[in-house]
Amino acid sequence: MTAHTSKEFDQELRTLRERLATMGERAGNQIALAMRALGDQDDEQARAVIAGDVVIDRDENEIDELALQILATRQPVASDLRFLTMALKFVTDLERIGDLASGIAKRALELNRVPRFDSRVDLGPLATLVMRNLQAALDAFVKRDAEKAKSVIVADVEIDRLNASLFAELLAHVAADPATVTRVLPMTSVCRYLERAGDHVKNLAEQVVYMVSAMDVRHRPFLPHRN
Amino acid sequence: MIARARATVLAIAIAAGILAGLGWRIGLAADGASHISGWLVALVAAAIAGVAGLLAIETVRRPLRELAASMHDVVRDTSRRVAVPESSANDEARTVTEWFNFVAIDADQSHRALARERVLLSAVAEGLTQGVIAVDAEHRVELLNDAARAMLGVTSTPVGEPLIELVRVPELFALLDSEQNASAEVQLQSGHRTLIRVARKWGGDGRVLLLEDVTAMRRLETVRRDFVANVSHELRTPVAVIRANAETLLAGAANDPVMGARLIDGLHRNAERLARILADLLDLSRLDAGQYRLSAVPVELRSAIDSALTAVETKAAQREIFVEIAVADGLRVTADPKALDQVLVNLVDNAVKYTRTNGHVWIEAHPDGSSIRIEVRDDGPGIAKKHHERLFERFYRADPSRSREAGGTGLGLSIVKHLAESMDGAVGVEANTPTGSTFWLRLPRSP
Repeated sequence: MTAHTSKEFDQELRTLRERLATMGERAGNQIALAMRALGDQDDEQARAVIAGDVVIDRDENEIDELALQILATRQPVASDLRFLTMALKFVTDLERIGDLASGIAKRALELNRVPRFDSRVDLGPLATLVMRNLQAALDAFVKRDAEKAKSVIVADVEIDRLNASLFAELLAHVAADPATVTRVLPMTSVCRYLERAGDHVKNLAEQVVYMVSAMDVRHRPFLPHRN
Repeated sequence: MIARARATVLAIAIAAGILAGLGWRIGLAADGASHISGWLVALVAAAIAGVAGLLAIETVRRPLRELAASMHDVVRDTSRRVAVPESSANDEARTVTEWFNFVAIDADQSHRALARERVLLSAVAEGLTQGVIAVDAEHRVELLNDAARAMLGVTSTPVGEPLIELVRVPELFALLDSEQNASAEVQLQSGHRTLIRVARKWGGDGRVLLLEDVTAMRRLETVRRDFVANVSHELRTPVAVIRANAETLLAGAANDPVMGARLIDGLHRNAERLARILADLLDLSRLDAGQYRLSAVPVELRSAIDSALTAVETKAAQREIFVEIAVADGLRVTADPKALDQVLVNLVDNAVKYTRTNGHVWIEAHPDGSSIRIEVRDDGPGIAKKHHERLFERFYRADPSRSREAGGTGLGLSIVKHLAESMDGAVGVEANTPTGSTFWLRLPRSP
C-alpha cells in the first residue's frame, strides 16, 4: 500500500471509529431522555425521543455503508479486519439500544394516561446501571481497553439481578391490588427494555474484547453469564 | 576522528620505521655491518615518527574536547555561551566557537520568544469563558482549555490524545468533518446548552472548536418571550370582559334588571382583577428596583403562621381541607412582619387552592443551622418536575386552565421569591411523597 493510500485508509478507520462512538453516545442519550420523560411525565419529551430514533437508524445505515466500502476497497487483514467485522455487529447492537429507548418513551406516554398509585418502585437505579455500563463499554471501545470491556461483561450480572428484583416488586403490587395492572404492565415492559439494552451493551463489550485481543468471549463459561 | 588519525599515525610510523630500517640495511649490507643494528635504527625511527604524530593529534584533540564539553553545557542551558578553548587561542577552533555561539544566541532568542507566545496563548485560552479545543488533522488534541474541560467533563490534560477518547458528542464530530465554518447547538450531558462553532486552523489541517455556554441566555430568552405572551394574555382577558359587558350595557342591557346587574357585577370583578394584577406588578417592580424597604426584626413564627391562616380559613373550610400545623412555640425568624405575612398567606393559600377537596395541608418548621426551614405541604395532584424550576417566574403557569380558574394573578410566587430573597432567605419547591407538593421557605433564625 502506498503512503498516500495508507493515510487515506487510516483516516477511513478513524472516521468509522468516531462514528461508532458518537452513535453509541446518541443511543445512551436517548435512554437518558426516555427515562427523564418517564420520570417527569413529560409527553413532549417522550415524543422527541421517539422522533429522535430516526437519527440512530440513519447512523446505522451510514456506518454499515462506510464499513462495507472499506472492506471492499481496502481488503484489510488481521486487526483491521477484526475491527471492521466488529463494527458491523457493533452498529446493530447500538441500533437496538436506540429502539429500546424509543420503546421506553412509548411506555412513558402510556403511563401518563393511566392512574398513578402509591409505589416505591424506582426504575432509576436500573437505568443508571445500564447507562453507566454503556459509557464504560464505549470507553473500552475508543481506548481499546480489553480489561474494561471484561468488567462491563461482569457488571451485566448486576443488571439482570436488579431487573429480577424490580419485576418481583412490581408483581407484588398487582397481587395486592389487581387494579394497578394497567400501570404495572408498562412498567415491567420498561424494566425488560432496560435489561435487554444491558444485554446489548454486554455484546458491545464482548466485541471490544474480540477486537483488542482476538479472543472470542461470547458464550464463555469463565465469565459470569446470564442464565 | 581522533582514533582514526591515531591509527593512521601509527601505521605511518611503522611504515617509516620499516622503510628507514630497510634503507639502513641496504646501505650497510654493502659494508657487511650487523643486521641487528639496522633493525634498531628502524625501531627508533618508527618511535620518533609515532610520538611526533601523536603529539600533533593531541594539539588538535584538546581544543576539540573542550569545545565539545562547552557545547554540551550550552545544549543543556541555552543561556550559556561556548568559551573559546584555552588551548587554542586563535585558530579554526575559535572560528567554530564563534559561529556556534552566534547560532546559539539566535536559537535562544527564538526559544524565548516561543515560550512567551506559549505563555500568552495559554493565559488567553485559560482565561476565556468560552471553551476552546484545537485538534490536528488526525483529530488529536493540541489544546483544551479549562472552560472546555468543565463543559465536557474532562478531568485530564490530554494533549496528543485522540479527541474521541475524551468526548463523544455526535454534533461536535459532525462539525469537525464539515468543510466550511459551521455551528451547532447541543445539550451536553453536564446539562449545559452549548453553541459549538468550528473554524479551520490557520496554516494547518486541524480545526479549532469554540464552545459557548448559552444555557442562561436561552433560559432568559424563554422567560422574556413567555412573560410578554403571558402578561398580554392576563391583561387581555379582563379587558375583553369589561369591554364586552360595557358594550352590551350601552346597547340597552342597562335597563334589564337581571342582565344589567350581572353585567355590572362582571365589570366590577374584572376591574378588580385588573387592579390586583397591576398592584402585584407594581410591587414586583418596586422589589426589583430595591424601593421596597423591609425591616428585619425578630418575629415569633407560630403566631405569624396563625395569623396568616386566618386569611385562608374560610376557603379551607369551604373545600373541607384539613390544615395541620406542627410549629414549636418559641421559634423566631428575622424578617419583615408584613412581608413574612404576605409570603405565608401566599404559600398557604396556594396549598389550599390546589389540593383536592377533603385534602390535607401541613405547615411545619424546623431549625436548620442558622436558619429555619418552613414547609407548606399538600397532598394534591402535585406539579410535574419540569415546571419546578420555572414556577417562580412572573406569570408562569404549570397548568394555565386550572390556575386561572382558581383566580390567581400569576404573580404570587414571583413576589414570594423576591420577598424571601429580600429578607436574606430563599424559597423552593419539591415533590411531596407520595403525591402533592412541598413549598419550602428558609429564613434567618433569630436568637
